[in-house]
Amino acid sequence: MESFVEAGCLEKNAAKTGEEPRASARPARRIAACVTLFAFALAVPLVADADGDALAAVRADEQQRVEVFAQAAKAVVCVFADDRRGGGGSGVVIDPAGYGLTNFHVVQSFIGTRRGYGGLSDGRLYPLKVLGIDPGGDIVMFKLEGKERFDHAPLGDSDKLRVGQWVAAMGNPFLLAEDFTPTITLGVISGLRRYQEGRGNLLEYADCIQVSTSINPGNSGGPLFDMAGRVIGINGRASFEERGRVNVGLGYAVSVNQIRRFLPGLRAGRLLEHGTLGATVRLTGERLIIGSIQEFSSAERVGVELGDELLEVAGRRVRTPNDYNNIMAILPADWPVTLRLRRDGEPIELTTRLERLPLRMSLQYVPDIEHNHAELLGVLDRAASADITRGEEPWASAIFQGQVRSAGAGEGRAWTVFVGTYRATEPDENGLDPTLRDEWRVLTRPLLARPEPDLRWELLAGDEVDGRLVNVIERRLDDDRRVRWKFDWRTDELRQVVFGTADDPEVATWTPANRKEFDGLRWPFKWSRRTRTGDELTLEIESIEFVSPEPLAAPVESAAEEDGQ
Amino acid sequence: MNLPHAAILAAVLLCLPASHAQDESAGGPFADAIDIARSRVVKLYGSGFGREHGYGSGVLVSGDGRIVTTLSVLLESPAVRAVLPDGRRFPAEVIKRDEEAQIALLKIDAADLPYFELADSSELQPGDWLIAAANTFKIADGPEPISVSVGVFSGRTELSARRRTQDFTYRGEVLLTDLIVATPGSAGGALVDARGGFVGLIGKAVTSKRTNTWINYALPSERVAAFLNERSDVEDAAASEQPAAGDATRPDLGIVLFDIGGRERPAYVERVRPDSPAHVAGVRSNDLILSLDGDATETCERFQAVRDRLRVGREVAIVIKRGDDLRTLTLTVGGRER
Repeated sequence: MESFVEAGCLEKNAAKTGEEPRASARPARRIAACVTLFAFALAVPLVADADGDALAAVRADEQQRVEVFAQAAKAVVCVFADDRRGGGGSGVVIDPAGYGLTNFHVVQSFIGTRRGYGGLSDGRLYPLKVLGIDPGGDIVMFKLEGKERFDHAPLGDSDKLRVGQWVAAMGNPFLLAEDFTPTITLGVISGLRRYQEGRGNLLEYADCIQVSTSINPGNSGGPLFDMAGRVIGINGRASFEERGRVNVGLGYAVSVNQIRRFLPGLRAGRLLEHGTLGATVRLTGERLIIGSIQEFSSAERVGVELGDELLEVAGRRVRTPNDYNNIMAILPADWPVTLRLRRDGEPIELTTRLERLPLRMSLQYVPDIEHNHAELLGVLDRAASADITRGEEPWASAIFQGQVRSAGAGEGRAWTVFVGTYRATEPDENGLDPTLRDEWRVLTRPLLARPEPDLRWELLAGDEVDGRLVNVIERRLDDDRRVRWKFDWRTDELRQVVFGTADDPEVATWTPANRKEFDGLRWPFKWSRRTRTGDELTLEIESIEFVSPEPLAAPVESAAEEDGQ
Repeated sequence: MNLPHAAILAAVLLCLPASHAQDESAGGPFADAIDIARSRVVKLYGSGFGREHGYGSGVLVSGDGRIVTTLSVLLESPAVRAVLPDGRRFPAEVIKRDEEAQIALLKIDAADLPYFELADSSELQPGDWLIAAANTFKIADGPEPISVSVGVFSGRTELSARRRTQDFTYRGEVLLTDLIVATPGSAGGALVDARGGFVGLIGKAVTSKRTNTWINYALPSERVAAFLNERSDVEDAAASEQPAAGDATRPDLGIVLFDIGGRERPAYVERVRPDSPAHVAGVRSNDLILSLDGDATETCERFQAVRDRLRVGREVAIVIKRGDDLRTLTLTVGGRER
């Protein structure tokens, strides 16, 4: 293999020993093209009037481009280590609260303290804290502090990119920018769905975007923009070989659609791993064949067999081993994936969850639980304002009444359940068997009132429900069971609640549908519950009585009560 | 340049990076040219040697599988393979070489392939858009599309370059570009204009003698066309139904020069190989060669360049200075199998 080198994490002293002059010449090549065009434009007034319109269009386009990039530049970060000797790189803010993305290899030198600095184009340095890390995909999330609202760049859709379209990289190549204003370089997309090996399981660039845009040391972690100023990738790597560590027109960006699946876990502050099917493929003629299957792997569990022809993974056609590597390497651990195979001429479809691909690095990365809980409450708060109305007081309680129906059975039966901590007005409960009643109480509790998270609460990495990205909040119960609430990443709507155990994480799945207003309370009124064994029933809510009377005693959240004992 | 100005401006406009007019599904103004280039450039694989790579690029110049590429170590391997844009692999055979231009013609056994008509590069003006398509760094594998990049035509120049420590033989005019094409695997790839017309063959990675930096250049399409129109020994042999004499021969006089490097390198003869054309003609050690076939040979490299242009079998005059004497000798250009 060629010697591909990470572009980023420039040693500060390297920059001081004379890299600058070479770098300063780089942007000149694109400017040369513009100057040529401009000269051309100047020559045009000699010709007919119709060309005047064209010239005006050229200038309007340029003006627009200048404005788009001026806005985009405000979101670009110059990333520095905390001790000023650890070098640095680039990054981009993607959320007004200061959340941003950069490369893992940019922050690796200060991963111990998780503290660095981010310089913005306003010329100021802001404290930077590293949150979640994805060493396999060479991505980390950070948060800048010190400002109410940060300029941020929107994320684009990297699956819609086309080879040949213009793109711009921004960042701090060679750490040139003393005032933190980013360097902009323009180029085109040279290739898509490129696969560039990593080292071990680290820094693998799969399904990445290849650009002719100048990517130099120090550009690492910076954004790749389309011409509308949307982030379509994070620049992190380039081919150099024999050419010194300067751009030779081949840079690679991690695609934003890969990063998207990791966003919930990155924001939660976790160490993230990638997934593996535990099977390898080989090309036999034109067919991609399953060549080996590991014992106890996802592939084995779901029933993939040696010799199966692989057609599609996660909805994407795979024709070559690189296609397969590309799709596998961009999926997180535990991610649900559907395989389309052909066996003995018959197409089959299998759905499984990927195994973890263990990171081969000695890195203890414990999530900052305080940060994790703050994010967890943020998810619940957003859901409360977007989807499900909850009580004001932390001890808010409610009486639910409705109909429960087994699948196939026409007749429903009435049910009433009290959820809360205050028992004075507790009504007679009926209609739900103890398991259902217990699950209902546990799952509605954090929706009714803001919990006070302890160590049994955690915001996990993201997941996918019906093709939608979700945040996952987990709560471990006393009897070794665990509950996972899954909220839509974009709309904050509750998508699913799953009850499970360590051995079987999906024993029973509750899915809400059809929201409506109950006395000014927005709440999903139709729920279906499905078990691993295939039992299905629906729960319909007819009324919710939201009660928060003066408590007789200090409210105590009783786990025992919620856990259905 | 006979095109009306309006048409040129329109072409320029199309290619401008437009922020608002970015049609995501259309792939921008270069999409067609890129499609054309990508369907006509092949990936070549052979064995590498030392720092020479075992991979490169080639361009299809006929529907029946003729491929032009640069001469390189990979062509010396017993099994040269060409991978078409659709992923099909074919063994390739070298059927013609041009040592001076350092290009070669390969043939694969295929039919109905898309191929380049050789466009006229003389119409190119500095600032015109160019697209490079090549198997750079062999990033793309099998049917994966090769790398493309977009830049401009910078101008023309006479090439004066070296490849590592050796002088590069090509002496003619080349196209310069701001595209970075002096990269591993790019040699033999295509430079096309904004309409997808082939204007240049990306040359071997060489460094400028003046600046010692990598030169981003291509051989003009006319030079490639001239090469294609020459009849090779192999083709001649095939035409007269005689057994091919193996690979092409290159001109050989049997003269070894006293070349110690340095700025001034006059063409002193170090030794003459016995029974070689030079030996037969009477050239001796310590002769200073002043001209060959009418061309002055001030330096070693100039001598080599003139020699490499000679046709095997021709009689040429060689002027030498021996002591204080000037002598004109006549020799018959020999051939040396590669």
